Amino acid sequence: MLTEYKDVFLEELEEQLQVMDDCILELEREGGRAEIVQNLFRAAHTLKGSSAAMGFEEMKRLTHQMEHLLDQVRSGAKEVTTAMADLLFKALDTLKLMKSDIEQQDHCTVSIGVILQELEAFAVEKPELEPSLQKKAEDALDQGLSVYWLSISLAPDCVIQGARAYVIRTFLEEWGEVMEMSPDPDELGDELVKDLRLSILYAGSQEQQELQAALEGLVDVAAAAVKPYQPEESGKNRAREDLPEEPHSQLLEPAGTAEELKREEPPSADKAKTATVRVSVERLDHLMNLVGELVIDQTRIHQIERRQRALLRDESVGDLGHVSDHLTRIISELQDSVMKARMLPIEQLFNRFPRMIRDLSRHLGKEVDLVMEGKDTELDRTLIEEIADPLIHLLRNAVDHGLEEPERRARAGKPEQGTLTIRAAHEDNQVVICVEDDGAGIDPEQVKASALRKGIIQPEEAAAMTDKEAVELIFRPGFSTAQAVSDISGRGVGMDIVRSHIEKLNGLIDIRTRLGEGTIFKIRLPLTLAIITGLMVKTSGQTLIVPMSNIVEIVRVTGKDVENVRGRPVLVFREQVLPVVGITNLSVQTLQQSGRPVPVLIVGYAEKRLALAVDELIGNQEIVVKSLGSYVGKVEGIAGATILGDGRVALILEIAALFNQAGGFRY
Amino acid sequence: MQADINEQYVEFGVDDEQYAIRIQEIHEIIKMQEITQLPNVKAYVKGVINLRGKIIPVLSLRSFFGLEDQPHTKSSRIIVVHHTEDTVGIMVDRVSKVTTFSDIQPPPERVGGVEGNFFVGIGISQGGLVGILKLDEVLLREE
Repeated sequence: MLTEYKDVFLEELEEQLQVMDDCILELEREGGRAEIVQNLFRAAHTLKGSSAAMGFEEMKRLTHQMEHLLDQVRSGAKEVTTAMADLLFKALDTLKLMKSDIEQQDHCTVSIGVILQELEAFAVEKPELEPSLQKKAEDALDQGLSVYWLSISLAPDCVIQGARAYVIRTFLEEWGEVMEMSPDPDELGDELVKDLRLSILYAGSQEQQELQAALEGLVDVAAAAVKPYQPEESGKNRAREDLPEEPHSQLLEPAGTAEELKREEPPSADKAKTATVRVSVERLDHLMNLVGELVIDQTRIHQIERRQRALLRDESVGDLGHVSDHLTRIISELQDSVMKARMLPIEQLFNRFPRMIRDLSRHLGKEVDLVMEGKDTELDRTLIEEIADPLIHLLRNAVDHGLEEPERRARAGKPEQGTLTIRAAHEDNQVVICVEDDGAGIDPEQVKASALRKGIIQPEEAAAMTDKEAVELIFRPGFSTAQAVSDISGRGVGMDIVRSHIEKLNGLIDIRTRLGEGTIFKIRLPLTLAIITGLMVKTSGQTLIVPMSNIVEIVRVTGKDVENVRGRPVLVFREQVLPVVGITNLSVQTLQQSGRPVPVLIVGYAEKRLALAVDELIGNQEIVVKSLGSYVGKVEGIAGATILGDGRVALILEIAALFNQAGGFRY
Repeated sequence: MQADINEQYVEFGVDDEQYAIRIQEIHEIIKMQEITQLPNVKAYVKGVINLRGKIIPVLSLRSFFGLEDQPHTKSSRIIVVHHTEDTVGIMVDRVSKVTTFSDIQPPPERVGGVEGNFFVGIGISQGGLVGILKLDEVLLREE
């Protein structure tokens, strides 16, 4: 398979699956509004087409069946029910499984037999009946017989379809009466019909299950669906004049569907949307790199221009200056634009939540109203991917542990339906995401007790803890308050993973909770991982970059300010005792021996602080973060590297490493 | 990877010895640049350089072979090779020429004090014996 097509296909698949997800949720909430059904139908239709073109036969069949069911909803033959929504969701989940299969191994191994059968059973349609046949069916009912619509799929490897159909008819006729059969076994020639399905109107005395079991026991029958015939429904069907005569013949797609689709497409709605082009991330990254190089070259041009100015007194030098200045402005604008092109609205991520919350709340028997605010808040796409897992975990926790059962809420005088709010917004140069529930809140005493039981803290420690500190215990490894481990949350990997994940993104997480009123988790993240503001410092002969987001304060101290506590250098700063560290021990020694004030950075990582001794501050600037590549891999103490204006490479300090630094850097 | 006498090689020198790398594996050869040192890495990884906007690691064959580091000279070069997904620079004392070998012998157990499995073979040319490096082994060496 050509990978370029595969990528395009997968992108489309992703998009359409999202559309389906949204639509089914809406469908369930608002019933079969024509527009929603139409959108859903269109998504299924699109996927049917593209999966067929890509040769994913199973996916084609599944989407075809979904389309078939939706067509019935669209035409008014079927009402939207919760059961139908569940079934559609199930089909959607199967499609998602297929997608991951295709991503990983280029073909589907997902079995679709069961879901196809369920969809089929749901969609069993009553073909329009001749008035005489209808009369016959009604007569049979009057006689106390049961009348069923049977839908039988033959196994795909069946090579004698005509004969099988004939056997089925004979079999049924032994038991009761076959009033109508389509296609007629006598008309089935030697030519094989793909996905042949037989549609039979049958009258007999058997129970539905009995009949189904018997049919499924026959040779070459892949699936059988039995639906009781309901006389009043036949009238409805008659109104549908466009119904194809043989709705189960899978040779062609239902006549008119394609044209109908086109006709019903809102004529100008799509044009009103902003025109967009799909661009692969690789290209954007490449563009970003090129811009980075431009910036570097521009700095050089600027330097050359200044040197020329000192040497030459020519008009052309002035011109060069103008051009160079203009270039600088354009490049910085270009840099901004490329940065923005990498940003996506957080909607992409938020869209996954309604479905998840719906399933979860139904599973747990809770009522949850999910409110999402600030969907259009933009952030770097890598960040969106990285923040997904922690957010999902927080939301699941909120539904599982935060929000109470409806009865408990009612007793506490709260509305039975809990509210879960997820809110995103820009604040300064950061993105703030809040997950808020109006549930029971976190009980610090309970957390403490649990932590004691698990040996995470000692009794003395617990006694000295403030409520806030106690609540923060939930971030400790090995902590989980759930009494019983449910499959929703609480597998022992919990909040500690959430926190470490967020810290890895240079973010911070904070909890506010009030017992009985609810909990708010507030996450702060940088706008992008690709560009950070860094402070360039010189220490131990190296130029290093310290991420600005980790710098709390810069102070100047002399050697006298540094004290020794148990042989370790510390700095008393604003009534806090901070350990003093350096990139190498050399810089700490230099500081201790210094008679004149030297700069010290107070750096923070989560709630921890320390003092970092440096030799010289150079200045701050926006830097493009680059990785060191897989050959060297992860280097202890280094978060990445960047290229400076003069073309040299400077390393970016990994703040976390300073806190567990054993022996400093070894060069 | 089998050594092939029909292929072209780039011959270079480290200390008094001559070595070679298959020309197909070489991306380019550049002059010495300022190298930014990396802390906490293997001793022969000298640091990183900026190769037209890309940051690539540089390792020194001298220290790889267990020789003393020496100050760079005018003839010092960095041979940039593509290895799997990565681009890596290899510091050598001098680059001599592009050459072919009239015969290639399997490597002995040791080649001038270096383990034989870092070599594909020993190339025989008019100038003498040349150790042909097996990049897979050199770049994937575990400490």
